[in-house]
Amino acid sequence: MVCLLVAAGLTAAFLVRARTGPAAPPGYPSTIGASGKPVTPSAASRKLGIASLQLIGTRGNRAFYRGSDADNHPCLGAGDASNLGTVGFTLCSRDERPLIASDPVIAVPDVQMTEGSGRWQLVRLDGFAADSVARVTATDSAGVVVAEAQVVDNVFSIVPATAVEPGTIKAYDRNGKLVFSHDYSGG
Amino acid sequence: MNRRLLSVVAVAASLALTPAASAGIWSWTGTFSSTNPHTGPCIWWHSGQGQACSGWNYWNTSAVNNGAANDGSLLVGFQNNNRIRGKYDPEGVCCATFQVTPGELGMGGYLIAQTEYATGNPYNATAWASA
Repeated sequence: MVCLLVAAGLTAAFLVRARTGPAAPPGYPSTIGASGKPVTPSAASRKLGIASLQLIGTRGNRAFYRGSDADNHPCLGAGDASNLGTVGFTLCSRDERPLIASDPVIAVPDVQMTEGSGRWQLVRLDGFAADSVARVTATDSAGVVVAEAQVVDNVFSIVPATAVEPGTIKAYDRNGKLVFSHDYSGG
Repeated sequence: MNRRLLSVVAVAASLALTPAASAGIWSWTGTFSSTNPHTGPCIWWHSGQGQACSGWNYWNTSAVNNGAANDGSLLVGFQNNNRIRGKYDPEGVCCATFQVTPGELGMGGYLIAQTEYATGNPYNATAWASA
């Protein structure tokens, strides 16, 4: 598997397995290791097709889950931590294979635009990161870091203190090496 | 007697087949890019390229199915008359369905579900919504 990834020229990739037990083969360097605690999916989550949830952790007022849909496809998701078991967004594989990401970070920025403003505002950034990722930063559209978060148990949540246009999301490993960068300023 | 029973059955059948006012599903499959014209009744003040918009409804999810990994992202969410809010679908993850609810975005009620091109290369995907 590692050879295939290297051969494909990918510098990093990770697998997400939603089932209980080890999240990946031992020794795989870039994998979500947190398996989480079982939580009963709410009716609202079931309406989204979610059949099982495991709470990976909470960050601020956000709860992060892995789980599975009704066809046992692996899923990731997050929602309001005051309403455990209810996911606000989900990312589910469309078959039985693990979710496969080409990057060590799955970033899910939340943005809004109001009439007359003509520009996007970063409201929040939630995300999942491989075991090797330690820190995530968010910049505004000028490249100034406006917020950052440590990755704990493979998840992170960032809420900028002020209204900013989305810029670049960057992630670093434990040695401070840049392992992910995605520019949203063109969005 | 049989005629009366038939009437009752017919009425019951018509009620069963009539969708609730808020029920519905919308989907659009195509290429999202910075140059494709928008499709659907997108809100007038943000009706640009690479957008796919549903009609108005009491949607409970806005979603995208992708069939291949991409280097970019799509914005998946909702519109009302004065606000658009959504989440960037991580298109580096294949092959997946990304869903977001109005409540997650602090929205609710009568909305347009929308998906729009945000970053990266042109991308083929199916945007959909259900109520």
